Amino acid sequence: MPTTLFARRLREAIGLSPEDHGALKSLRVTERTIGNRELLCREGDVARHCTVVISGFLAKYKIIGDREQILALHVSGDFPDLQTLQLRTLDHNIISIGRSRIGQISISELQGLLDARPSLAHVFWRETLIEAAIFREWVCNVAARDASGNIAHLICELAARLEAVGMVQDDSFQIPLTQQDIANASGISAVHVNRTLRDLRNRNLMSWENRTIRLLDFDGLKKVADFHPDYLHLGLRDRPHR
Amino acid sequence: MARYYFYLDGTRPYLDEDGIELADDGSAWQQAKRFVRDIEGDFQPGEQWRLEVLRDGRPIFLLIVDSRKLE
Repeated sequence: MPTTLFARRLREAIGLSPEDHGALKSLRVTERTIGNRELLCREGDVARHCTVVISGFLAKYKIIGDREQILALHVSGDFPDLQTLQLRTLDHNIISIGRSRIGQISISELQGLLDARPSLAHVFWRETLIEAAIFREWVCNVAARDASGNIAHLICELAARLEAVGMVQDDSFQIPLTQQDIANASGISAVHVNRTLRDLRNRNLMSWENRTIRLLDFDGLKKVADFHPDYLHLGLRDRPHR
Repeated sequence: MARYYFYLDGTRPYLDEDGIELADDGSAWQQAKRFVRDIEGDFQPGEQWRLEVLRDGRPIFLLIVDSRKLE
């Protein structure tokens, strides 16, 4: 079911009533596969659908001068474009990094469901608030953290978000991002990303080979990043470290 | 498109073995300028830093940052 991972993440964090879960499952979702670097939507588009990521990675980005600024990354179980429920015209582009499987729901149908079920409306509102909390950490990354902390924080965040949807196995996970993508997300030059990743590898904190990231020393990496997952509101606090 | 290499010499040298595919020399210069911003974490008073950018083994740009501790 397209909304399964979203529901799972909610159940772990705040719980989800059987009625609300049933209502989510009743949404008509059109599934699609989008290719690597294929645009889902463009800045200035008027949205008619809301999207849920079933598998893969979506990125929000804007072109500023000659730079591509990645503003957010979205993983399985995320709704990357909930703002369109209120703000129909997009102020950014959304692209797939690697091949992704997405589900699309008509905005009018989703809005109708949220009007009928205030508890679900609160759930979706909470999602947008968490997205804002993530943006706040990203501002800290780009503007204040040094390169090691910046990249380590991004990796730790992806690890936590992927773990919440069951995508981390044996302290490792797959990501289709390139070093240039990391540069675009973190505001660091691609050369320095390369150098910093080597440094994190030499310190036995993490490795990144092909598309696999291994968290060799997750606690150590979290220290470098000064990473505290509370802002993600995944309900991790009570969960045992795996 | 060409492959550009960024060699950092100075107090903490770094030899980029992989290189980066970039569209042209202008893009390489953009990368070099951005790399200057990124030394912030490392750089101490009195250190020096030289960034050489090479295309196909030929140096095309040199960026030098010099500092002195005056007292």
